[in-house]
Amino acid sequence: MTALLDIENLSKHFPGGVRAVDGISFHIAPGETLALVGESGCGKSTTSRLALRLLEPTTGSIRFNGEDLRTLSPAALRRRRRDMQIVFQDPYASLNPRMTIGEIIAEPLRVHGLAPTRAAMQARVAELLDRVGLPPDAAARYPRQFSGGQRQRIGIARAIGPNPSLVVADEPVSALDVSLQGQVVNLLQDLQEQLGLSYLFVAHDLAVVRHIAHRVAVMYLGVIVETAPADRLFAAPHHPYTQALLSAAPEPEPGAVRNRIILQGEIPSPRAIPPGCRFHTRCPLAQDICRAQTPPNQQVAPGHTAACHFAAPYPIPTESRR
Amino acid sequence: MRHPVTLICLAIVVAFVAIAAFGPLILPQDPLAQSFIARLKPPSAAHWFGTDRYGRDVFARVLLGTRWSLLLGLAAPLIAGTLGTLIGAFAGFYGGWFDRIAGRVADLLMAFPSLLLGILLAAALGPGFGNLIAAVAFAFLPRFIRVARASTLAVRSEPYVEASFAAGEHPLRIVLRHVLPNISGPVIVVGTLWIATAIRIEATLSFIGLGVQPPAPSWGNIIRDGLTNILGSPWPVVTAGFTLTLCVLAFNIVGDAVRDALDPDYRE
Repeated sequence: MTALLDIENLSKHFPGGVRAVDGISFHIAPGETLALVGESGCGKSTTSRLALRLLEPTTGSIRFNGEDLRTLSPAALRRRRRDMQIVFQDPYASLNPRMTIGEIIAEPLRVHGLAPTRAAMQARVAELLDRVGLPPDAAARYPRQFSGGQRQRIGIARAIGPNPSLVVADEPVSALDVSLQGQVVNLLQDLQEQLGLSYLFVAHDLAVVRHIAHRVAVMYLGVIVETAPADRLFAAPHHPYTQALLSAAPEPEPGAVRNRIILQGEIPSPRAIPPGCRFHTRCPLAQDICRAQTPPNQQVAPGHTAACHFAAPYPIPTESRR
Repeated sequence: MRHPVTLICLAIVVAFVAIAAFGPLILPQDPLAQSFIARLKPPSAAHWFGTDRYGRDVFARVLLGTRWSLLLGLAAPLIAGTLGTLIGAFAGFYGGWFDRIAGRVADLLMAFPSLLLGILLAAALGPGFGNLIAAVAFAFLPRFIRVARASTLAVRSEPYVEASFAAGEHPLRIVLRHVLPNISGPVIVVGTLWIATAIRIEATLSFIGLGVQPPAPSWGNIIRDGLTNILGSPWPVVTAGFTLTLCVLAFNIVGDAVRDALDPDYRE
Protein backbone atom coordinates (compact mmCIF):
# COMPACT_ATOMS: atom_id res chain seq x y z
CA MET A 1 0.00 0.00 0.00
CA THR A 2 1.42 3.37 -0.94
CA ALA A 3 0.43 6.10 1.47
CA LEU A 4 -0.46 9.58 0.25
CA LEU A 5 0.91 11.07 3.44
CA ASP A 6 3.48 9.22 5.50
CA ILE A 7 4.72 10.85 8.63
CA GLU A 8 7.53 9.42 10.66
CA ASN A 9 8.88 10.33 14.06
CA LEU A 10 7.63 13.88 13.69
CA SER A 11 8.20 16.27 16.57
CA LYS A 12 7.89 19.95 17.27
CA HIS A 13 9.61 21.48 20.27
CA PHE A 14 9.02 25.12 21.09
CA PRO A 15 11.46 27.35 22.97
CA GLY A 16 11.19 26.91 26.72
CA GLY A 17 11.25 23.12 26.66
CA VAL A 18 7.72 22.74 25.30
CA ARG A 19 7.42 19.39 23.54
CA ALA A 20 4.12 20.05 21.76
CA VAL A 21 4.53 17.08 19.41
CA ASP A 22 6.98 14.48 20.54
CA GLY A 23 7.73 11.83 17.94
CA ILE A 24 4.60 10.70 16.15
CA SER A 25 4.14 8.51 13.09
CA PHE A 26 1.07 7.90 10.97
CA HIS A 27 0.05 7.54 7.37
CA ILE A 28 -2.99 8.30 5.28
CA ALA A 29 -3.94 6.27 2.20
CA PRO A 30 -5.52 7.85 -0.89
CA GLY A 31 -9.23 8.42 -0.31
CA GLU A 32 -8.92 7.70 3.38
CA THR A 33 -9.95 9.75 6.41
CA LEU A 34 -7.67 9.59 9.41
CA ALA A 35 -9.11 11.26 12.47
CA LEU A 36 -6.69 12.70 14.99
CA VAL A 37 -8.43 12.92 18.33
CA GLY A 38 -7.41 14.30 21.69
CA GLU A 39 -8.01 16.91 24.35
CA SER A 40 -7.15 20.58 23.88
CA GLY A 41 -3.41 21.07 24.17
CA CYS A 42 -2.45 17.53 23.19
CA GLY A 43 -0.67 18.78 20.07
CA LYS A 44 -3.21 17.77 17.44
CA SER A 45 -3.49 21.22 15.88
CA THR A 46 0.31 21.54 15.85
CA THR A 47 0.44 18.14 14.13
CA SER A 48 -1.99 19.33 11.46
CA ARG A 49 0.28 22.31 10.72
CA LEU A 50 3.39 20.12 10.69
CA ALA A 51 1.79 17.69 8.26
CA LEU A 52 1.53 20.53 5.72
CA ARG A 53 4.85 22.03 6.78
CA LEU A 54 3.07 25.23 7.71
CA LEU A 55 5.17 24.84 10.83
CA GLU A 56 8.77 23.72 10.61
CA PRO A 57 9.19 20.34 12.41
CA THR A 58 12.04 19.82 14.88
CA THR A 59 12.64 16.24 13.75
CA GLY A 60 11.02 13.65 11.53
CA SER A 61 9.97 13.27 7.93
CA ILE A 62 6.80 14.18 6.04
CA ARG A 63 6.42 12.14 2.90
CA PHE A 64 3.73 13.38 0.57
CA ASN A 65 3.30 11.25 -2.54
CA GLY A 66 6.65 9.70 -1.70
CA GLU A 67 8.47 13.03 -1.61
CA ASP A 68 9.86 14.44 1.64
CA LEU A 69 8.33 17.88 2.07
CA ARG A 70 11.19 18.85 4.35
CA THR A 71 13.71 18.66 1.51
CA LEU A 72 11.73 20.98 -0.76
CA SER A 73 12.81 24.57 -1.39
CA PRO A 74 10.32 27.29 -0.38
CA ALA A 75 9.31 27.80 -4.01
CA ALA A 76 8.88 24.07 -4.66
CA LEU A 77 6.87 23.72 -1.46
CA ARG A 78 4.57 26.55 -2.52
CA ARG A 79 3.94 24.79 -5.83
CA ARG A 80 3.22 21.53 -4.00
CA ARG A 81 0.60 23.23 -1.84
CA ARG A 82 -1.85 22.96 -4.73
CA ASP A 83 -2.21 19.32 -3.77
CA MET A 84 -2.68 19.75 -0.02
CA GLN A 85 -5.13 22.18 1.46
CA ILE A 86 -6.52 23.05 4.87
CA VAL A 87 -9.87 23.93 6.44
CA PHE A 88 -9.66 25.90 9.66
CA GLN A 89 -11.48 25.69 12.95
CA ASP A 90 -12.51 29.32 13.18
CA PRO A 91 -14.89 30.16 10.32
CA TYR A 92 -14.74 33.85 11.24
CA ALA A 93 -11.01 34.54 11.44
CA SER A 94 -10.07 32.29 8.53
CA LEU A 95 -11.64 34.55 5.89
CA ASN A 96 -10.06 37.95 5.21
CA PRO A 97 -12.81 40.47 6.13
CA ARG A 98 -11.68 42.84 3.38
CA MET A 99 -11.96 40.38 0.52
CA THR A 100 -15.10 39.21 -1.25
CA ILE A 101 -16.01 35.54 -1.17
CA GLY A 102 -15.07 35.36 -4.85
CA GLU A 103 -11.60 36.76 -4.17
CA ILE A 104 -11.13 34.41 -1.21
CA ILE A 105 -12.03 31.30 -3.18
CA ALA A 106 -10.04 32.52 -6.18
CA GLU A 107 -6.81 32.97 -4.23
CA PRO A 108 -5.43 29.40 -4.44
CA LEU A 109 -6.67 29.13 -8.05
CA ARG A 110 -4.84 32.32 -8.99
CA VAL A 111 -1.68 31.31 -7.11
CA HIS A 112 -1.43 28.07 -9.06
CA GLY A 113 -2.63 29.53 -12.36
CA LEU A 114 -5.65 27.22 -12.49
CA ALA A 115 -8.03 29.70 -14.11
CA PRO A 116 -6.19 31.66 -16.79
CA THR A 117 -9.01 34.01 -17.76
CA ARG A 118 -11.44 36.12 -15.82
CA ALA A 119 -14.38 34.21 -17.20
CA ALA A 120 -12.79 30.86 -16.35
CA MET A 121 -12.19 32.08 -12.81
CA GLN A 122 -15.77 33.25 -12.39
CA ALA A 123 -17.10 29.98 -13.71
CA ARG A 124 -14.83 27.95 -11.41
CA VAL A 125 -15.76 30.03 -8.35
CA ALA A 126 -19.46 29.62 -9.15
CA GLU A 127 -18.98 25.88 -9.57
CA LEU A 128 -17.18 25.64 -6.22
CA LEU A 129 -19.88 27.65 -4.47
CA ASP A 130 -22.46 25.32 -5.95
CA ARG A 131 -20.52 22.27 -4.73
CA VAL A 132 -20.66 23.50 -1.15
CA GLY A 133 -24.31 24.52 -1.43
CA LEU A 134 -24.04 28.30 -1.74
CA PRO A 135 -25.67 30.49 -4.41
CA PRO A 136 -23.42 31.94 -7.15
CA ASP A 137 -24.19 35.54 -6.12
CA ALA A 138 -22.31 34.85 -2.84
CA ALA A 139 -19.09 35.57 -4.75
CA ALA A 140 -19.69 39.33 -4.72
CA ARG A 141 -20.42 39.51 -1.00
CA TYR A 142 -18.19 39.85 2.05
CA PRO A 143 -17.57 37.29 4.83
CA ARG A 144 -19.46 39.32 7.45
CA GLN A 145 -22.66 38.78 5.47
CA PHE A 146 -22.55 35.04 6.14
CA SER A 147 -23.26 32.84 9.14
CA GLY A 148 -20.69 30.55 10.75
CA GLY A 149 -21.94 27.48 8.90
CA GLN A 150 -21.93 29.29 5.55
CA ARG A 151 -18.46 30.65 6.22
CA GLN A 152 -17.20 27.15 6.89
CA ARG A 153 -18.64 26.10 3.53
CA ILE A 154 -16.72 28.99 1.94
CA GLY A 155 -13.55 27.76 3.67
CA ILE A 156 -14.20 24.29 2.26
CA ALA A 157 -14.80 25.70 -1.24
CA ARG A 158 -11.46 27.50 -1.02
CA ALA A 159 -9.73 24.29 0.06
CA ILE A 160 -11.11 22.04 -2.69
CA GLY A 161 -10.65 24.69 -5.42
CA PRO A 162 -7.24 23.56 -6.67
CA ASN A 163 -8.33 19.88 -6.66
CA PRO A 164 -6.06 18.76 -3.82
CA SER A 165 -5.58 15.12 -2.95
CA LEU A 166 -5.22 15.83 0.77
CA VAL A 167 -7.30 18.19 2.90
CA VAL A 168 -6.33 18.78 6.50
CA ALA A 169 -9.45 19.69 8.45
CA ASP A 170 -8.49 21.24 11.78
CA GLU A 171 -11.58 20.88 13.97
CA PRO A 172 -13.75 22.05 11.07
CA VAL A 173 -17.02 21.75 12.96
CA SER A 174 -16.14 22.39 16.60
CA ALA A 175 -16.99 26.10 16.31
CA LEU A 176 -20.41 25.33 14.84
CA ASP A 177 -23.80 24.60 16.39
CA VAL A 178 -24.56 20.92 16.74
CA SER A 179 -27.33 21.25 14.16
CA LEU A 180 -24.81 22.52 11.59
CA GLN A 181 -22.03 20.09 12.50
CA GLY A 182 -23.82 17.19 10.83
CA GLN A 183 -24.41 19.18 7.65
CA VAL A 184 -20.78 20.18 7.31
CA VAL A 185 -19.55 16.65 8.10
CA ASN A 186 -21.93 15.28 5.46
CA LEU A 187 -20.66 17.86 2.98
CA LEU A 188 -17.07 16.80 3.65
CA GLN A 189 -18.08 13.17 3.21
CA ASP A 190 -19.89 13.86 -0.09
CA LEU A 191 -16.89 15.80 -1.39
CA GLN A 192 -14.62 12.91 -0.45
CA GLU A 193 -16.74 10.52 -2.51
CA GLN A 194 -16.99 12.87 -5.48
CA LEU A 195 -13.37 14.04 -5.54
CA GLY A 196 -11.50 11.13 -3.97
CA LEU A 197 -10.04 13.30 -1.23
CA SER A 198 -8.00 12.13 1.72
CA TYR A 199 -8.67 13.82 5.02
CA LEU A 200 -6.61 14.39 8.10
CA PHE A 201 -9.54 15.20 10.33
CA VAL A 202 -8.58 16.76 13.64
CA ALA A 203 -11.23 16.70 16.37
CA HIS A 204 -11.73 16.56 20.09
CA ASP A 205 -15.16 15.06 19.75
CA LEU A 206 -15.38 11.33 19.10
CA ALA A 207 -19.07 11.56 18.19
CA VAL A 208 -18.19 13.66 15.13
CA VAL A 209 -15.32 11.39 14.17
CA ARG A 210 -17.49 8.27 14.28
CA HIS A 211 -19.33 9.37 11.14
CA ILE A 212 -16.46 10.35 8.94
CA ALA A 213 -13.28 8.53 9.99
CA HIS A 214 -11.95 5.35 8.45
CA ARG A 215 -9.18 5.17 11.00
CA VAL A 216 -8.65 6.99 14.27
CA ALA A 217 -5.43 8.02 16.00
CA VAL A 218 -5.77 9.11 19.62
CA MET A 219 -3.26 11.69 20.81
CA TYR A 220 -2.24 12.43 24.35
CA LEU A 221 0.38 14.99 25.34
CA GLY A 222 2.27 15.04 22.07
CA VAL A 223 2.18 11.32 21.21
CA ILE A 224 -0.24 8.93 19.56
CA VAL A 225 -1.39 6.41 22.17
CA GLU A 226 -3.69 4.29 20.03
CA THR A 227 -4.40 3.87 16.32
CA ALA A 228 -7.11 1.61 14.93
CA PRO A 229 -9.73 1.31 12.22
CA ALA A 230 -12.66 3.43 13.37
CA ASP A 231 -15.19 0.67 14.02
CA ARG A 232 -12.59 -1.36 15.88
CA LEU A 233 -11.53 1.57 18.03
CA PHE A 234 -15.10 2.27 19.03
CA ALA A 235 -15.83 -1.43 19.60
CA ALA A 236 -12.66 -2.39 21.44
CA PRO A 237 -10.46 0.42 22.71
CA HIS A 238 -7.16 -0.97 24.02
CA HIS A 239 -5.72 2.09 25.69
CA PRO A 240 -7.23 3.34 28.96
CA TYR A 241 -7.16 6.91 27.66
CA THR A 242 -9.15 5.95 24.57
CA GLN A 243 -11.61 4.14 26.77
CA ALA A 244 -11.99 7.21 28.99
CA LEU A 245 -12.55 9.45 25.93
CA LEU A 246 -15.13 7.03 24.54
CA SER A 247 -16.97 6.92 27.83
CA ALA A 248 -17.28 10.71 27.68
CA ALA A 249 -18.80 10.76 24.19
CA PRO A 250 -22.58 10.81 23.98
CA GLU A 251 -24.13 7.46 23.02
CA PRO A 252 -26.08 7.63 19.79
CA GLU A 253 -28.67 5.17 21.08
CA PRO A 254 -31.00 6.43 23.76
CA GLY A 255 -30.97 4.36 26.93
CA ALA A 256 -27.64 2.73 26.15
CA VAL A 257 -25.56 1.78 29.15
CA ARG A 258 -23.05 4.46 29.93
CA ASN A 259 -20.27 4.24 32.41
CA ARG A 260 -18.39 7.46 32.43
CA ILE A 261 -14.78 7.21 33.39
CA ILE A 262 -13.81 10.50 34.97
CA LEU A 263 -10.08 11.12 34.62
CA GLN A 264 -8.47 12.72 37.62
CA GLY A 265 -6.60 16.01 37.30
CA GLU A 266 -5.55 18.06 34.31
CA ILE A 267 -3.53 17.16 31.28
CA PRO A 268 0.11 17.82 32.35
CA SER A 269 2.02 20.69 30.76
CA PRO A 270 4.01 19.82 27.63
CA ARG A 271 6.83 21.68 29.37
CA ALA A 272 7.04 18.98 32.08
CA ILE A 273 6.11 15.67 30.51
CA PRO A 274 5.88 12.87 33.11
CA PRO A 275 8.52 10.13 32.82
CA GLY A 276 7.57 6.62 31.77
CA CYS A 277 4.09 6.45 30.31
CA ARG A 278 2.98 10.07 30.03
CA PHE A 279 -0.58 9.11 30.89
CA HIS A 280 0.33 7.52 34.24
CA THR A 281 -0.53 10.63 36.30
CA ARG A 282 -4.19 10.27 35.37
CA CYS A 283 -4.50 6.58 34.56
CA PRO A 284 -6.64 4.41 36.85
CA LEU A 285 -4.48 1.39 35.94
CA ALA A 286 -1.08 2.97 36.62
CA GLN A 287 1.51 0.65 38.18
CA ASP A 288 5.19 1.07 39.01
CA ILE A 289 6.21 -0.02 35.52
CA CYS A 290 4.14 2.84 34.04
CA ARG A 291 6.05 5.40 36.06
CA ALA A 292 9.40 3.94 35.02
CA GLN A 293 9.12 2.69 31.45
CA THR A 294 7.67 4.25 28.34
CA PRO A 295 5.28 1.65 26.92
CA PRO A 296 6.15 0.48 23.39
CA ASN A 297 3.66 0.94 20.58
CA GLN A 298 2.45 -2.65 20.38
CA GLN A 299 0.31 -4.14 17.68
CA VAL A 300 -2.75 -5.73 19.24
CA ALA A 301 -4.44 -6.61 15.95
CA PRO A 302 -3.76 -5.91 12.27
CA GLY A 303 -3.79 -2.12 11.87
CA HIS A 304 -4.44 -1.62 15.55
CA THR A 305 -1.66 -0.41 17.86
CA ALA A 306 -1.77 0.78 21.43
CA ALA A 307 0.99 2.23 23.61
CA CYS A 308 0.11 0.79 26.99
CA HIS A 309 1.74 -1.80 29.26
CA PHE A 310 -1.70 -3.23 29.92
CA ALA A 311 -3.19 -2.98 26.45
CA ALA A 312 -6.32 -5.10 26.26
CA PRO A 313 -9.90 -4.61 25.12
CA TYR A 314 -11.55 -2.29 27.65
CA PRO A 315 -8.56 -2.23 29.98
CA ILE A 316 -10.42 -0.30 32.71
CA PRO A 317 -12.89 -2.66 34.41
CA THR A 318 -16.42 -1.32 34.85
CA GLU A 319 -19.23 -3.07 36.72
CA SER A 320 -21.71 -3.17 33.88
CA ARG A 321 -19.30 -4.74 31.39
CA ARG A 322 -19.62 -8.48 31.33
CA MET B 1 -18.59 62.21 13.78
CA ARG B 2 -21.97 63.93 13.82
CA HIS B 3 -21.03 66.22 16.67
CA PRO B 4 -21.55 69.90 15.64
CA VAL B 5 -18.04 70.91 16.75
CA THR B 6 -16.60 68.15 14.58
CA LEU B 7 -18.67 69.29 11.61
CA ILE B 8 -17.57 72.90 12.07
CA CYS B 9 -13.93 71.77 12.27
CA LEU B 10 -14.40 69.63 9.19
CA ALA B 11 -15.71 72.70 7.36
CA ILE B 12 -12.68 74.69 8.58
CA VAL B 13 -10.32 71.95 7.39
CA VAL B 14 -12.02 71.91 3.99
CA ALA B 15 -11.76 75.72 3.82
CA PHE B 16 -8.03 75.61 4.66
CA VAL B 17 -7.42 72.97 2.02
CA ALA B 18 -9.33 75.06 -0.54
CA ILE B 19 -7.32 78.14 0.40
CA ALA B 20 -4.09 76.21 0.10
CA ALA B 21 -5.11 74.91 -3.32
CA PHE B 22 -6.73 77.98 -4.84
CA GLY B 23 -5.70 80.86 -2.53
CA PRO B 24 -2.90 82.19 -4.72
CA LEU B 25 -5.40 82.56 -7.59
CA ILE B 26 -7.58 84.92 -5.58
CA LEU B 27 -4.86 86.89 -3.79
CA PRO B 28 -6.31 90.30 -2.92
CA GLN B 29 -2.87 91.94 -3.10
CA ASP B 30 0.69 91.07 -3.93
CA PRO B 31 2.04 89.47 -0.72
CA LEU B 32 5.55 90.68 -1.54
CA ALA B 33 4.74 94.27 -2.56
CA GLN B 34 6.24 96.67 -0.03
CA SER B 35 4.88 100.11 0.73
CA PHE B 36 6.70 102.68 2.80
CA ILE B 37 3.61 104.76 3.56
CA ALA B 38 1.37 101.78 4.53
CA ARG B 39 3.64 100.29 7.23
CA LEU B 40 2.30 98.68 10.42
CA LYS B 41 -1.32 99.53 9.71
CA PRO B 42 -4.15 97.97 11.73
CA PRO B 43 -6.83 95.96 9.90
CA SER B 44 -8.90 97.93 7.42
CA ALA B 45 -11.09 97.34 4.39
CA ALA B 46 -8.00 97.42 2.16
CA HIS B 47 -5.82 95.30 4.47
CA TRP B 48 -8.02 92.85 6.41
CA PHE B 49 -5.19 91.67 8.65
CA GLY B 50 -3.30 94.99 8.56
CA THR B 51 0.19 95.43 7.18
CA ASP B 52 3.64 94.46 8.41
CA ARG B 53 6.75 96.58 8.90
CA TYR B 54 7.48 96.60 5.16
CA GLY B 55 3.91 97.65 4.41
CA ARG B 56 3.06 94.19 2.97
CA ASP B 57 -0.53 92.98 3.16
CA VAL B 58 -0.64 90.42 6.03
CA PHE B 59 -3.87 88.82 4.79
CA ALA B 60 -2.28 88.02 1.44
CA ARG B 61 0.79 86.68 3.21
CA VAL B 62 -1.23 84.48 5.57
CA LEU B 63 -3.26 83.25 2.61
CA LEU B 64 -0.13 82.26 0.73
CA GLY B 65 1.46 80.84 3.88
CA THR B 66 -1.46 78.39 4.17
CA ARG B 67 -0.09 76.62 1.12
CA TRP B 68 3.27 75.88 2.78
CA SER B 69 1.75 74.91 6.10
CA LEU B 70 -0.73 72.49 4.60
CA LEU B 71 1.66 71.13 2.04
CA LEU B 72 4.05 70.17 4.79
CA GLY B 73 1.22 69.15 7.10
CA LEU B 74 -0.04 66.64 4.55
CA ALA B 75 3.20 65.67 2.81
CA ALA B 76 5.20 64.79 5.92
CA PRO B 77 2.64 62.36 7.43
CA LEU B 78 1.97 60.94 3.96
CA ILE B 79 5.64 60.23 3.25
CA ALA B 80 6.34 59.04 6.80
CA GLY B 81 3.13 56.97 6.71
CA THR B 82 3.96 55.26 3.42
CA LEU B 83 7.57 54.49 4.28
CA GLY B 84 6.88 53.69 7.93
CA THR B 85 4.01 51.37 7.06
CA LEU B 86 6.10 49.42 4.58
CA ILE B 87 9.05 49.16 6.99
CA GLY B 88 6.82 48.28 9.94
CA ALA B 89 4.77 45.75 7.97
CA PHE B 90 7.81 43.91 6.61
CA ALA B 91 9.57 44.04 9.99
CA GLY B 92 6.53 42.64 11.76
CA PHE B 93 5.81 40.06 9.08
CA TYR B 94 9.28 38.65 8.51
CA GLY B 95 10.78 39.25 11.95
CA GLY B 96 14.46 38.37 12.21
CA TRP B 97 17.34 40.79 11.85
CA PHE B 98 15.41 43.34 9.79
CA ASP B 99 12.79 43.54 12.54
CA ARG B 100 15.42 43.93 15.23
CA ILE B 101 17.25 46.71 13.41
CA ALA B 102 14.05 48.56 12.45
CA GLY B 103 12.75 48.19 15.99
CA ARG B 104 15.95 49.50 17.60
CA VAL B 105 16.20 52.44 15.20
CA ALA B 106 12.55 53.31 15.83
CA ASP B 107 13.12 53.14 19.59
CA LEU B 108 16.17 55.37 19.25
CA LEU B 109 14.29 57.97 17.22
CA MET B 110 11.28 57.81 19.53
CA ALA B 111 13.55 58.93 22.37
CA PHE B 112 13.60 62.39 20.77
CA PRO B 113 10.49 64.57 20.73
CA SER B 114 9.54 64.92 17.05
CA LEU B 115 9.95 68.70 17.24
CA LEU B 116 13.52 68.40 18.50
CA LEU B 117 14.32 65.75 15.90
CA GLY B 118 12.76 67.95 13.22
CA ILE B 119 14.89 70.93 14.27
CA LEU B 120 18.00 68.77 14.39
CA LEU B 121 17.44 67.34 10.92
CA ALA B 122 16.32 70.65 9.39
CA ALA B 123 19.49 72.27 10.75
CA ALA B 124 21.63 69.43 9.43
CA LEU B 125 20.01 69.41 5.98
CA GLY B 126 19.99 73.18 5.67
CA PRO B 127 17.11 75.48 4.66
CA GLY B 128 14.72 74.67 1.83
CA PHE B 129 11.21 73.36 1.68
CA GLY B 130 12.18 69.92 0.37
CA ASN B 131 14.61 69.50 3.24
CA LEU B 132 11.93 70.65 5.65
CA ILE B 133 9.52 67.96 4.45
CA ALA B 134 12.27 65.35 4.64
CA ALA B 135 13.20 66.40 8.17
CA VAL B 136 9.65 66.32 9.52
CA ALA B 137 8.80 63.10 7.68
CA PHE B 138 11.87 61.43 9.16
CA ALA B 139 10.95 62.70 12.62
CA PHE B 140 7.52 61.04 12.25
CA LEU B 141 8.82 57.81 10.74
CA PRO B 142 9.26 55.83 13.99
CA ARG B 143 5.64 56.41 15.04
CA PHE B 144 4.38 54.83 11.85
CA ILE B 145 6.88 51.97 12.02
CA ARG B 146 5.63 51.22 15.54
CA VAL B 147 1.95 51.28 14.67
CA ALA B 148 2.36 49.31 11.45
CA ARG B 149 4.58 46.71 13.12
CA ALA B 150 2.23 46.16 16.06
CA SER B 151 -0.81 45.88 13.77
CA THR B 152 1.08 43.51 11.49
CA LEU B 153 1.95 41.21 14.38
CA ALA B 154 -1.76 40.98 15.17
CA VAL B 155 -2.77 40.39 11.54
CA ARG B 156 0.05 37.94 10.92
CA SER B 157 -1.38 35.44 13.40
CA GLU B 158 -4.85 35.59 11.83
CA PRO B 159 -5.98 32.30 10.29
CA TYR B 160 -6.68 34.00 6.95
CA VAL B 161 -2.98 34.76 6.67
CA GLU B 162 -2.20 31.12 7.46
CA ALA B 163 -4.79 30.15 4.85
CA SER B 164 -2.92 32.21 2.29
CA PHE B 165 0.34 30.49 3.22
CA ALA B 166 -1.45 27.15 2.91
CA ALA B 167 -2.72 28.16 -0.53
CA GLY B 168 0.90 28.55 -1.62
CA GLU B 169 0.90 32.33 -1.86
CA HIS B 170 4.25 34.09 -1.94
CA PRO B 171 4.96 35.88 1.40
CA LEU B 172 5.50 39.17 -0.42
CA ARG B 173 2.03 38.99 -1.91
CA ILE B 174 0.57 38.00 1.46
CA VAL B 175 1.90 41.27 2.84
CA LEU B 176 0.38 43.20 -0.07
CA ARG B 177 -2.98 41.42 -0.27
CA HIS B 178 -3.72 40.55 3.35
CA VAL B 179 -1.53 42.53 5.73
CA LEU B 180 -1.51 46.05 4.26
CA PRO B 181 -5.29 46.32 3.72
CA ASN B 182 -5.94 45.11 7.25
CA ILE B 183 -3.48 47.46 8.98
CA SER B 184 -4.55 50.52 6.96
CA GLY B 185 -7.14 51.59 9.57
CA PRO B 186 -4.76 52.23 12.49
CA VAL B 187 -2.18 53.78 10.16
CA ILE B 188 -4.69 56.25 8.71
CA VAL B 189 -5.76 57.18 12.23
CA VAL B 190 -2.18 57.91 13.28
CA GLY B 191 -1.63 59.82 10.04
CA THR B 192 -4.55 62.20 10.57
CA LEU B 193 -3.50 62.82 14.16
CA TRP B 194 0.00 63.85 13.06
CA ILE B 195 -1.13 66.36 10.42
CA ALA B 196 -1.74 69.05 13.06
CA THR B 197 1.63 68.32 14.67
CA ALA B 198 3.35 68.64 11.29
CA ILE B 199 1.71 72.03 10.73
CA ARG B 200 2.87 73.13 14.17
CA ILE B 201 6.41 71.92 13.54
CA GLU B 202 6.52 73.76 10.21
CA ALA B 203 5.46 76.98 11.94
CA THR B 204 8.05 76.47 14.66
CA LEU B 205 10.87 75.76 12.22
CA SER B 206 9.93 78.74 10.05
CA PHE B 207 9.74 80.85 13.20
CA ILE B 208 13.32 80.03 14.14
CA GLY B 209 14.48 80.45 10.55
CA LEU B 210 14.93 76.82 9.58
CA GLY B 211 11.75 76.55 7.52
CA VAL B 212 10.32 78.65 4.73
CA GLN B 213 12.81 81.39 3.94
CA PRO B 214 11.78 85.07 3.71
CA PRO B 215 10.57 86.86 1.73
CA ALA B 216 8.33 83.87 0.94
CA PRO B 217 5.58 83.97 3.58
CA SER B 218 4.72 81.22 6.03
CA TRP B 219 2.76 81.46 9.26
CA GLY B 220 5.89 80.88 11.28
CA ASN B 221 8.00 83.57 9.66
CA ILE B 222 5.10 86.07 9.61
CA ILE B 223 4.89 85.68 13.39
CA ARG B 224 8.67 85.92 13.74
CA ASP B 225 8.72 89.01 11.59
CA GLY B 226 5.84 90.62 13.46
CA LEU B 227 7.55 90.03 16.79
CA THR B 228 10.00 92.87 16.07
CA ASN B 229 7.23 95.44 16.25
CA ILE B 230 4.75 93.62 18.45
CA LEU B 231 4.30 96.58 20.80
CA GLY B 232 3.69 99.01 17.97
CA SER B 233 1.53 96.71 15.84
CA PRO B 234 0.49 93.28 17.15
CA TRP B 235 -1.66 92.52 14.08
CA PRO B 236 0.66 90.28 12.06
CA VAL B 237 1.41 88.16 15.14
CA VAL B 238 -2.23 88.02 16.26
CA THR B 239 -3.74 87.23 12.87
CA ALA B 240 -1.16 84.68 11.76
CA GLY B 241 -1.10 83.14 15.24
CA PHE B 242 -4.88 82.87 15.31
CA THR B 243 -4.92 81.29 11.86
CA LEU B 244 -2.29 78.76 12.93
CA THR B 245 -4.20 77.93 16.13
CA LEU B 246 -7.49 77.54 14.30
CA CYS B 247 -5.92 75.26 11.69
CA VAL B 248 -4.13 73.03 14.22
CA LEU B 249 -7.25 72.81 16.38
CA ALA B 250 -9.48 71.92 13.45
CA PHE B 251 -7.12 69.22 12.18
CA ASN B 252 -6.74 67.80 15.69
CA ILE B 253 -10.49 67.52 16.25
CA VAL B 254 -11.09 66.03 12.82
CA GLY B 255 -8.21 63.61 13.49
CA ASP B 256 -9.86 62.54 16.74
CA ALA B 257 -13.14 62.05 14.93
CA VAL B 258 -11.45 59.90 12.28
CA ARG B 259 -9.90 57.78 15.03
CA ASP B 260 -13.27 57.41 16.72
CA ALA B 261 -14.86 56.38 13.46
CA LEU B 262 -12.19 53.91 12.33
CA ASP B 263 -10.81 52.49 15.56
CA PRO B 264 -13.18 49.91 17.01
CA ASP B 265 -11.68 50.43 20.48
CA TYR B 266 -13.02 53.99 20.56
CA ARG B 267 -16.30 53.23 18.85
CA GLU B 268 -19.34 53.40 21.07
